[in-house]
Amino acid sequence: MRQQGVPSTLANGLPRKVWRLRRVLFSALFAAAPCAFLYGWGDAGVNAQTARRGDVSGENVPFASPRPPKPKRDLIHANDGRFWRRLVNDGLHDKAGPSASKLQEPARFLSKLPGKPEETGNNVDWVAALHRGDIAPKDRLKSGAAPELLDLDIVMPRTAGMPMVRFPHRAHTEWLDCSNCHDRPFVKKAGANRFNMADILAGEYCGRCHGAVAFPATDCLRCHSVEHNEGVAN
Amino acid sequence: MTKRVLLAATALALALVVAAQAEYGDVVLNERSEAGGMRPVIFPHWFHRTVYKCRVCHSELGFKMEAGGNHITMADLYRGRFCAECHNGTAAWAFENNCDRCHSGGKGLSTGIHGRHRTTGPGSW
Repeated sequence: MRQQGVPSTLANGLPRKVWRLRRVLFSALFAAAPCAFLYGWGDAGVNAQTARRGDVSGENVPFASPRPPKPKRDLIHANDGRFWRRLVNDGLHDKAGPSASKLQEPARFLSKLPGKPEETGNNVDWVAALHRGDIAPKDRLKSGAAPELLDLDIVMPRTAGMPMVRFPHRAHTEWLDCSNCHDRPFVKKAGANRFNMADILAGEYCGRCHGAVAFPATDCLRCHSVEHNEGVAN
Repeated sequence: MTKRVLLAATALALALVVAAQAEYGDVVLNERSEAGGMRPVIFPHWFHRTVYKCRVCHSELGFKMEAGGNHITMADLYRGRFCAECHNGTAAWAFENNCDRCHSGGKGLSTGIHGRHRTTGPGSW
């Protein structure tokens, strides 16, 4: 099958097959290392499982280790598979600073809120948290006008092979002010705003918040939620 | 060739996922901090949104919805603006004696959003 004129050994003397195998192995190793780091292998075993069984004290362990207990690792796990990174290891906070160990850990509060692992930004479904009453954020600071709620869905039909997008004004006005989106970046007229996924992923339009503070654009079906044949008659 | 590109892309994507470890929505303010001898400021969106809705800061208090778009100075805070509208000792802890709670970042951080799912272009994830 080999083409004519292609040598079976490379310039460095390695047979082509060995070279290929080496490349595959190195690629796998290169891809696995960050995965292992991200999921904190070795960490989950001690923090989540043994801690839940109450074996940390060493009393129930037949071969209690003489070593001191493992230091706190960089992830805090919840029982439902969600985890959050410790502030001192989040790549932002200064480990040597006076406050890094004193500030509130995100996991302590966020683990009490509804959410799915790795899908909704902070691992929290903020709209559900608000509706369920887990949080009760104030809607104004100074005595001003009451926030304006708008219960109006906009369906965007031009989504090629994806289901159509349903934009719920209600969920948005429960958090935001009209002026946050109108007239920039969105004009108050259905069909007048032309944007695509490239714009959103570049941080414009919906991407101003979704991907930065609101659930990320990787949650495709939360927006692309209306099948094309369902109709938009109403 | 395509295999190689795919492998490289996967590795890059994984590396970026790992590199962006901060809590989703964390904002770093470092336009002046380090130049002024202080640690960069880290603003956690996750905590603030549990007590105030977006509209309070982004409409009432005048924070632009753009990382790096608000050129806040300590002088603004002493005038009672921006963070100091709450961080005044009544609504929330006072900013004056708690420098390190905000100025808590490591060296050389860039101003902007540092959350896990940054969208700074399709290439970044």
